[in-house]
Amino acid sequence: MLGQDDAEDVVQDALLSAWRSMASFEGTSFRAWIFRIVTNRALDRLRARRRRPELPLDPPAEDDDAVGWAEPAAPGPELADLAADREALRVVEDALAALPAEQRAVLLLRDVEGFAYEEIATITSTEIGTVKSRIHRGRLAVRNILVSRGWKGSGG
Amino acid sequence: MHPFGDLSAYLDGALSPEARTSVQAHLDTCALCRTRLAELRGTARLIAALPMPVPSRSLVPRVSVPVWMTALRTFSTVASAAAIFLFVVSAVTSSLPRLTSTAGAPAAAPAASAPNAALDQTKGRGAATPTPQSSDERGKLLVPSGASASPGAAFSAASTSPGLTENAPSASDAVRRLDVGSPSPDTSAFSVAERTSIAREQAPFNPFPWLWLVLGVAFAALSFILGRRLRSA
Repeated sequence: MLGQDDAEDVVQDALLSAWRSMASFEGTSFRAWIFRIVTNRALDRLRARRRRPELPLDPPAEDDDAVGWAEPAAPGPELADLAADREALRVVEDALAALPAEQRAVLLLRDVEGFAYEEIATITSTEIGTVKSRIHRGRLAVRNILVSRGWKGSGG
Repeated sequence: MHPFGDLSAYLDGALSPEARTSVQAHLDTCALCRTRLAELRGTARLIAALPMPVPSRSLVPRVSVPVWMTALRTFSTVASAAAIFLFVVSAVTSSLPRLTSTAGAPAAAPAASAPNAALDQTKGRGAATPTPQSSDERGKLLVPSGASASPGAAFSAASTSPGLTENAPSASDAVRRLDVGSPSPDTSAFSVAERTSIAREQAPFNPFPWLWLVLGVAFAALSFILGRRLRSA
């Protein structure tokens, strides 16, 4: 996950290059096009940050269910309405930060920005199956962390 | 066999119709999968509820500016345009009367008066002058101009005001009589008359060109100051 300064640098870089290559825009969704540039820049920045860039950002392909569904830990105190709490969002942020960068990017594009799977596949230059798998694994990982913190589930 | 792997895509409405109906059918019978789906939905909602990070600096140069700022900017543009317009107007209004007068008078007057004065000098017709031989050229020129100053004024008055046209012949007669009486030739008297008329046109201070110019400068200063303030803001 990028820090605030890096994130702002990336956005500025991306907007600048988007402005310069405005003529090459030929899609239907300008928003998706911008997000594609921004996402690529952010992932590039993260890769450059890596000490061992040869490592793939995604963990090796595995069966989605192999991750497993963690069972709730012993219910914490007053965590039933964790969703309404600021604490829950902090947990979600931590969980997202622990995700592989490309899972996180795809998950944010889906849940925060509301792009469709096809659009996300275009934005991230991947197959739609990869998008589907990454979204599911990312969401599952966040869910598992929440549950391990005593989250009850459907509360939100 | 639980379709766990499809639950997220089901949640997002990204499944093919047949996969969707099969997951739907399974959900109807499987409480565990309904729980898992609810958890995923809650997770997605939590992610969506994350606070948007606010950039600490402006990444896009002033996409949104306050309303008064845009109004001020428009006003600054209008002021600079007004300054240019008023400057042009002042230039035109101040140069137009001079152009019409200079077209006829000064071009003709020096050409007419100077050779005649030279003629006076060479012919030596200084009978009416007090000191014929000793007085210089300037003194000779002064005498006819002083003598014909009043007829010149009469001429210009007659020519400018149409109500005085009846007096015009008598005035011009007076000029001619005076010219006949005076030793200076007719042309020099006319040139002096024309000169006085020019002086009369220019003499009264016309405030309007200066008014335009001052207004233009004021608007230019206003737009300049506004532009600087807006740029620094």
